[in-house]
Amino acid sequence: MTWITGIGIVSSIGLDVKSNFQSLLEGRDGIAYSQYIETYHKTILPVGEVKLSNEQLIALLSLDQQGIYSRTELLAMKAAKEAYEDAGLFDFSDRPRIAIVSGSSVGGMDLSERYYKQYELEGKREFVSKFQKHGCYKHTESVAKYLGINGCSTTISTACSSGANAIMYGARLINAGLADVVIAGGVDALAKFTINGFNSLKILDTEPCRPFDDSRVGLNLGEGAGYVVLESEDSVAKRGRKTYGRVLGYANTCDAYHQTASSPDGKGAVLAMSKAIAMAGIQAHEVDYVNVHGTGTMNNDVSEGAALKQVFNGKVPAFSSTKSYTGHTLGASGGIEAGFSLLAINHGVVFPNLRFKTAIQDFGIAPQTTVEYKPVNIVLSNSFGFGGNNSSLVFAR
Amino acid sequence: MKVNNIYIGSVSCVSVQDTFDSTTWYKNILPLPSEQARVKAPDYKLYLDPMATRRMSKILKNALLTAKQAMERLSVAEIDGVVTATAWGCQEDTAKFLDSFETLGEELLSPTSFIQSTHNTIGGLIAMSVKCNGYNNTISHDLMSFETALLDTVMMMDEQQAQPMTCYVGGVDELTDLSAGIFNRTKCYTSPYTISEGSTCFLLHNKTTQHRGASITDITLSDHEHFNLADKLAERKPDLIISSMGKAIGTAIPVIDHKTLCGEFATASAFALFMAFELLQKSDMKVALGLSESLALNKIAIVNQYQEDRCSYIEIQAC
Repeated sequence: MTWITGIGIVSSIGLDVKSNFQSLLEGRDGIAYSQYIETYHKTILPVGEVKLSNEQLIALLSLDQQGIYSRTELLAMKAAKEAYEDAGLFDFSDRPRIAIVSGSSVGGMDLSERYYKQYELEGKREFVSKFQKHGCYKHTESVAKYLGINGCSTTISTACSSGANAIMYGARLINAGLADVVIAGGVDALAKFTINGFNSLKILDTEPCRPFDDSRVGLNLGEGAGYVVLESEDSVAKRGRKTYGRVLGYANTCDAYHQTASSPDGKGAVLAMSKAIAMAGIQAHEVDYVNVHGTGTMNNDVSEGAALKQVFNGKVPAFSSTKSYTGHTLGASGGIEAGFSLLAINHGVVFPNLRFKTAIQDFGIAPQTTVEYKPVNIVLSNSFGFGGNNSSLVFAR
Repeated sequence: MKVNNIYIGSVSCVSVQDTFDSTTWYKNILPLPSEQARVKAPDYKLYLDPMATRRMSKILKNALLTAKQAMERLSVAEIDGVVTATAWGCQEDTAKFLDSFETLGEELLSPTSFIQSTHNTIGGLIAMSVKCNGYNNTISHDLMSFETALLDTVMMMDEQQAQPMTCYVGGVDELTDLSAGIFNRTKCYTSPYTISEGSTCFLLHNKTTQHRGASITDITLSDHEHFNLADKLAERKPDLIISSMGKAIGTAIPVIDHKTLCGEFATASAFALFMAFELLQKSDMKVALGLSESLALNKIAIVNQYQEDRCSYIEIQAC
């Protein structure tokens, strides 16, 4: 059994778990025009940007001011450190075997896109330092070094489901007895590369996104990092830590339909949700809340909605897309939303889906629109990505 | 970690050697140029619909072709999972998309190269082409990409032990002019080998009714079991080690260096595992590679160094 003993989140709605939770309760989104990215779309496409410059992040993390860092690794360090602290791993002398599994879709692209052409021009040392940040894995190793993690490390890159798959990989490491504790989640920083990529697909909204609303036209990109500390039952008992809940089930499937679009009937999504629920050993009706993928694109919400109706046999539990607050943080979303799911369980509260007004025609389901306090024992969290990568996680009290 | 009941059913490999087209590639080892080496590409039009694949980069075609060849070799029409290891992903399309907004500006861009730039586009494409709705994961962790992808596949299959399944696991990396320039300029690989690329895949399964070419018996990463390589070798006693660590391993067990054949790239250990598999199948291969005729090969280990103080150990055995 895998327990969760720590959470760390940085997103456009807050720099730590507490401020993210406060924003969720107050209905405060983080969607605005970018302050830090130099792009043509700066004043056209609003984004969910973390409200700190790289310099401020470097200072906050007490890093060497002269060092070269990708924004991705800075965001990862910020959230992973909070999770690590929360789980009391800094002050534990008899350290368990700690591993790290992180997800990211574009790694250090925020640096590479500015410097990749300069390899023949710049001084070698300068360029090498920047180039070394490009790989998806680099932020994982940086976090490991920053926190003093000496166990296994690996990195998942399955686009928007990277963070969820990292949590799955982490849970397997614990189940296989290869680690006592795993820092698992994901990160992505906003980049000109992804803004232009999603814009070329014509799925970005020039207004704050409206997931599951009939008027939705697309998503807002966001950035951030979210990590949970997964821990084996033995280690939790030995360390006597408080827990946020358990990872009860998980599943990863593939829609195998189209490289960027989901199938209309949500085949991959149905499989991911139902397999995760089956692994959890529960009945679908026992799920109290679904933190949906809910990007706010025409395609995703119809496909995911159809899948929800099928999995829950028409009786869909309370669901909401917290991407209406944070924007779509790509590889980070699985980690951030795992944190939100655990907050829902621990505070007995369901978060609203912002800006929802009109249900999709003939659709029959509508998201949660208010903050509602009620017992939340089991949460299903969905992360679906390009390439048809569908992942679902089940968390329980 | 000891591994039980997981078998390699078939393999396929596109590399700088003639591994895709020839089953006796080891009898005619191709010398590597000193600067950089590109794969000996299959004749794509023999296998792929040129219209459907006209926009696909080399890495996508190679990954797709090896998956198809491995499936043909095992005589399976379906697989149950796809796990891809790629350290640098789809570089050609990444550079193409970067260039497009640098040169054309940020309006009216075509999404094709963006769609084909993400690391998981490789696994997504394979799943789409063979209609696999099962497990699909992509691992990208530098020199440990393939090892941790193999571990993922094995852990996932272990979890489903009751369920018979066949899964693709592949190590895929490409070299482009830009990346070759960057790697050379930054001396990203400090090794003496030629920088290269490759696409190697394995079909793993846990079935009693399917062909078993070899069994995977151990996957250990030094940093999750704190193992000492010398102790591991003394305990496991492999007949042969495939590694680029050479004398640094400090053992009397024969060591052969795969990178002299496949060159240097981050997922080169997939090529090492391919060699190990081939050595267990083909009795004339060991002599062709300069090993002693009298060396009995039943258990082969692949040892890969990662950073200064870490390494991995993968072991397969004859069935």
